[in-house]
Amino acid sequence: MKIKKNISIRKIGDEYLLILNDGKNADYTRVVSMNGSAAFLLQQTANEEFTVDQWAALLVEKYEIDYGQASVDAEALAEKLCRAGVVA
Amino acid sequence: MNRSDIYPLFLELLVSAIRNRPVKESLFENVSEETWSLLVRYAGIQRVNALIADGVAKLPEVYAPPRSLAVLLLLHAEKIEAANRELNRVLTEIVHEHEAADLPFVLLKGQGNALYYPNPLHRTPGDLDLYFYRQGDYERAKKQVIEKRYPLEEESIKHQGYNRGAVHIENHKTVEVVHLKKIDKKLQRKVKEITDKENFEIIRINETPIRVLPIEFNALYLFIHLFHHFVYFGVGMRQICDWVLYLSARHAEIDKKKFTETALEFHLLRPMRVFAHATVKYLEMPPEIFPFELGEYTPYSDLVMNDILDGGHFGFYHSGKKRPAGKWSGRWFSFRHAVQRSWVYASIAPSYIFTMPIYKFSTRLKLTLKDFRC
Repeated sequence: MKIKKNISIRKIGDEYLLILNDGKNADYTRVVSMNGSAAFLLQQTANEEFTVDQWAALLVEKYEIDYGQASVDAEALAEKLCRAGVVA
Repeated sequence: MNRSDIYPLFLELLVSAIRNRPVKESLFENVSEETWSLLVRYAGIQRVNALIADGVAKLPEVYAPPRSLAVLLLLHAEKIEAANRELNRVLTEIVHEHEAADLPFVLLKGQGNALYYPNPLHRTPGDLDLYFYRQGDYERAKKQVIEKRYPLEEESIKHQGYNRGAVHIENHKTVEVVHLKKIDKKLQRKVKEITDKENFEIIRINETPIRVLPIEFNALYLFIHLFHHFVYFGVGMRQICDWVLYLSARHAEIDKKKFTETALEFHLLRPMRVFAHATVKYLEMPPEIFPFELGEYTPYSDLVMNDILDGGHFGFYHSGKKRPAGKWSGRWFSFRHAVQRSWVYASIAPSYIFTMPIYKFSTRLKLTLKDFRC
């Protein structure tokens, strides 16, 4: 999987917003709300291919959680981003 | 609630963004959702949405706007960034095309000014103004636009606009026209001195070298342009930011004595001082950025700032009757409005302002006669 180009991540309070644009105009209809850990994963793998397992490993390393929980969270995020058209 | 009630909050956020200083948080205690909503809309009226977003980003969460308005501001900033990227992309494309066709030009204001913003992508962009300085090049560039079938607009006395996709471009045959013949002659002579020697400054946008006006003349030109719009209808905060951010960055390279003499020669020292005092008082600009002595403060600075705050971008948002949609009724409205303004602001620069309505009328007449001949 790879995260599409032309996305930006902005922080409002504790929340992160992912905004998709087509390179010319910010697409107002594609704004995805995320938490800090999701933003962390997107920033870490912005320009490279990744797998859900790699995301889970990153979560384990950063937040010191167990791999099972990290894997569930990473999969849920990947699914959400696929639906939003952020990940191809 | 009146729009003027939000001016202190607006100015605080704007100043924190352009002066790169923290926001005075206490001002934002108990700001209602209605006030925030007005403030977000007002940022658009002044074309400084992304700068206001920068200011808001410095507020602690407890004083931040409601989520929906914070998201809206953020999206405005995002859109401005995207528009700037697109404008810069088209600009560099045009530079390469025109260089290949031996049609060099000078980029006026706009994207060249953006470089002096704390974040160049956060200047609300307008169009691309390209000045073709060599004899015959303006006509050749026009021919090229026609050949490429870009829709051309009606030609004015100084430029002709066209659209290239979503980007509006103005090809200039002259940098600026001043309605006072004597001053205009001086201006055109100065431009000729620069273009004869190709004495331009080179900036880089997307790694592409682009000609812009040399510093001292650019500082003068930015004010002439700003003042021209102010006299006719009004200017918004973006245009003020362009001027003061340019001076903030480049004032040390300007010879103060020489600049003052030129400003006097162009009858602009007095209005420059009025505007400078206004920005010192309301935008916390350090007096030393101005390449002239500020002189005595006068209440005209307050009058000017009120006009800027009330009128917004190019004075489009002045309260009262709006410009009618019809071509001739619109022109009559704009003429009458300009005459009324000239009475209010005449003493800032009498030689400029008193003669302006006559000039506006005769220019319109000339363009109309030209239309009939065509």
